[in-house]
Amino acid sequence: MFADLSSGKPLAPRLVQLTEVYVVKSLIEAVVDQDTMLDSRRKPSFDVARDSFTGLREWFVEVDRDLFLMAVRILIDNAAKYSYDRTTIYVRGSMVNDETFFQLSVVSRGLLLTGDEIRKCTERGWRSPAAQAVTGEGSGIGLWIANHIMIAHKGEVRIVTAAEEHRTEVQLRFPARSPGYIEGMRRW
Amino acid sequence: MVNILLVEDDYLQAQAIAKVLREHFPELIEQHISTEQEFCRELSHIRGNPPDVIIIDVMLRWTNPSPNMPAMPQEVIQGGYHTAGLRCERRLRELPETANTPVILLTVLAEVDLTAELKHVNRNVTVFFEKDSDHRPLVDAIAQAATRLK
Repeated sequence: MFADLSSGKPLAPRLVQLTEVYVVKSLIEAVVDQDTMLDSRRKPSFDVARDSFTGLREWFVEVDRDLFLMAVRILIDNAAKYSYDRTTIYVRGSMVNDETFFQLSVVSRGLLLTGDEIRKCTERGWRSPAAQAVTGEGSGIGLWIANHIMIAHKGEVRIVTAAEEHRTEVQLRFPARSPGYIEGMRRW
Repeated sequence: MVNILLVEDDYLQAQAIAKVLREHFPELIEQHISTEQEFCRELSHIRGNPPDVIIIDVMLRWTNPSPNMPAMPQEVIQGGYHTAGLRCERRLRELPETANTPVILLTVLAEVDLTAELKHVNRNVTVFFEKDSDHRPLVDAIAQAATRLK
C-alpha cells in the first residue's frame, strides 16, 4: 500500500457495510494494544463511548475494513504519543452534517497544532517541531496515510483544536446513506 | 548489590532490559530515565550518587509532552535525537564524579553508523553494544563493570 501511495496510485477499497459491532470491537482492540505499549508512569487512559455508534444501526456506511482499522489505529497512536501525562483520550461516534456523514472522533489533551501546521500535517513526512521533540524517530506518514484512506472512501480527515484547553479532536468522516437506502437494499 | 541507571525512551524495550537485569542481578537497584531532557534534569542527582553502571540508548527523544515543554537546545536540534545518548555520555564525562562511571551505549545502529561520533568516546569506560535479542553480552559487560568497581 505504501508503495502504491508513494507512486501516486490511489487506494482501491473493498467496501462492506460498517457495523456498530465491528467499530466497537476494533476500537477496543486498538486501545488495548496501545495501552500495553505505554509507560505506566505517565500513560493516558482511554474512554470509548460504545453507545455512540448506534447510528450505524440505521445509517448505511461502507468501508474497507482493513483501511478503516488502519486509520483508526493511526489516530489512536497519535493521540497516545502526543497526549500529556495521565490525561484521557476520548473516542466517539456520531452522525454529522445533517446525518450525511458518520464521524469517528478521537479527542485528546496534549500538543497542539497551529493553523498552518494543521494544513501541513497530512503531508507526507511532515512533523511539527513539537512532535519531533517528543517522539524522536518517526516517519511523519501516519496522517498522510489516514488522509489517503479517507479520500479513497470519499470522506475526509478533519482536525479541530481548542488552544485554551490544549485539546485536539481528529475526525474521520465517512459518507453515510439514509435508512431509506438500507430498506431499499433489503427489498431489492 | 548493583546500582544501574537505564536511559531508554522505548517503554517496552526498557521493560525487557529491566527484566533481564532483575533475573541476573538479584540485588539490583534500578533507575529508569526515559528522555534526554530528563537525563539533563537528573544529572546533579546522578553526579551526587553515581550508579555502578549506566546503560544509555543512543537514540532518545528529547522530552515527553507537557504544557510547559522545555524547548530543544540548539545542540539537540543540530545533533538530532539519533545521537542523544552520546550527548548524555559526554555530559557524564565532563563531571569529575562520573568521568569514570562505566557506560554501556545500546543501539539498533551499527557501530559503523556512528564512527565519527564514537571517535571522542573513551573506550576504557564506555562500551558500545548493538541491541540484540541475546542479552548475555550485555549482562557480562555489566557484571565486569560492577566487579571492577568493587
